[in-house]
Amino acid sequence: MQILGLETSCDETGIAVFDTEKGLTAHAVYSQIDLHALYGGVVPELASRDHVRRLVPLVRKTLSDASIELGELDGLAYTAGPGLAGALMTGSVFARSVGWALGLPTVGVHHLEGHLLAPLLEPDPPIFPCVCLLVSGGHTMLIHVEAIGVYRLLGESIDDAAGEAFDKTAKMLGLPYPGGPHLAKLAEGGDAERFSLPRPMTDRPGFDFSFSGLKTAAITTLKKEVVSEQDRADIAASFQAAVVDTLLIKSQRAVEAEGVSQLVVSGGVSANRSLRDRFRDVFDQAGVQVAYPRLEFCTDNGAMIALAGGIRLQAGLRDPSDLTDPEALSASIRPRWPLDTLPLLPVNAS
Amino acid sequence: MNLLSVDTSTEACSAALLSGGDIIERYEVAPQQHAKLVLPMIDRLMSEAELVPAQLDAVIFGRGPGSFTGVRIATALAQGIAMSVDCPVVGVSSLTAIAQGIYRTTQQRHCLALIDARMNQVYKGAYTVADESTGESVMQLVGEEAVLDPQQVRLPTGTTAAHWIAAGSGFQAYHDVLSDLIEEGLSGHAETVYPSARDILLIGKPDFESGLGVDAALAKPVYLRDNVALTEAQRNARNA
Repeated sequence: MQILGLETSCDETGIAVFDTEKGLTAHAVYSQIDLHALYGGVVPELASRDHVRRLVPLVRKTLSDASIELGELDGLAYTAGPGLAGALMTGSVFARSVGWALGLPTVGVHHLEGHLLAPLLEPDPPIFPCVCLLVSGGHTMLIHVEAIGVYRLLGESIDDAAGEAFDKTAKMLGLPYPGGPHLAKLAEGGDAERFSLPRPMTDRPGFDFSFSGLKTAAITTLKKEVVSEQDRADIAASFQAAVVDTLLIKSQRAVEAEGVSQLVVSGGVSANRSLRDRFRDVFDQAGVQVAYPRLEFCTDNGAMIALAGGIRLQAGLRDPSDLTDPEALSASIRPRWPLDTLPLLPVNAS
Repeated sequence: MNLLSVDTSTEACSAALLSGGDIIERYEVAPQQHAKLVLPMIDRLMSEAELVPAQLDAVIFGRGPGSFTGVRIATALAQGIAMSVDCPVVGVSSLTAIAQGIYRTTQQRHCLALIDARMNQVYKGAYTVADESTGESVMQLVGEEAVLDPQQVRLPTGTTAAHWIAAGSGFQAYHDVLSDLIEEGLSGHAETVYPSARDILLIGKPDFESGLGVDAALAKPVYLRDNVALTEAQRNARNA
């Protein structure tokens, strides 16, 4: 099956063609980072306005890169949630209109299922059951994955997401928006042990996170002690190490508690070099396989949506196609959508 | 000629289809339900007319102004269908559609269309039918469409208030503020008038026929309100 995937949940328009036999055949992402940089953060209305400008040209480019015509598609997968309502709406209405006009099935994909399955696009895909650490600017979660589609939330951040804490701390360090990757770069020349910052909630049981206090501690230290360029690098490195340690400690515990030997780390922060190095050192020794998406698929993209949607469409899960069915009326977007309430795949499908 | 039209710019959600010279329409006042309602509406119209999407010659859509999300629903829908069946799109103003609806139902030839823009503002457009000789007259904009404070709403200069009717949710929402205008002696007002896909179709059809349809990628909403957030520099200046 040839699936067109569309991701529009936040500030990236991502389009991809995924072939359930051959794998990913083309993908393109238009990032709105420059647009939102002026505002110091994502402006939801501007994000939605941009998606509606990008969809048609990006779909055409991606189809052309994949050397297929619209008519050769077998289905469409779009991000139905969670995310910004207006942004989700553009992708969802567009995808469902194309599906209607071409008589193709469509399926609304859970954005986080997309992230979680993104490592399946790589040559050495993870095996299930596993534990997934989903860590981005919007989410920090530990999830038990029994199989594709069967997810159980183990814990999540009770305040800032890890990536959000990165961005806010970076902003205080005077780094450009979005600051996370800039902070990581600055940290490369810093001494991670110079400043002692907390590893929040690691002293208590459970798998929840909290990064707001750590961010504040870093900013307080910054205001009090940081003068030179080296000081700035040291605080960046100390902050990064505290976040990575916290994620690592909780992930280790989750892997042990769930008795799995596979960990998936996905989402924007999973591109962090220091995180990947630390996780490799620790989990290699423990005999735990760690799978990541390739760097460009750590952040939002259409490929992961095309993949997750392709799996669902192949299993026969799709939006109701009879538009006179009242059920069809509810098939729209879900800005808030718990991951553990997804429709289950028929057992023989995967 | 088979033309499909949609409008989701206000509280009303509607779709219309011109096929074999007849227009059929679905219309419902259903705030916040547009994304769910509009595709089933279109689907039913098409089955009723026994058409398949590939037979469409153009998609005409209400390009706004109005609810931001609403105008994007119609735009994305027009883009999706037009891209799929490779036909042009025509964007039509929702304000013109209100005026056209007034003309179609009351034969009033001068209409001040006002849509509630929230934040104590209205979207405004003044319209006049110039030539009724063709029998298929379309309301023409006088001056420009604008988003403004209701206090600033004026009739076009040199016109007589008694010839004008005011219509739309903007009139309803700011009735009190618009009292000066009313006292000038408007011939009437129609408050709960929303744009309808039937009028969108009537307005867009001549544009399509004269080759003004554009590629799906060029289907664009018109919001009128373009300053939706303060940049960091603006915020800092304000706090300074």
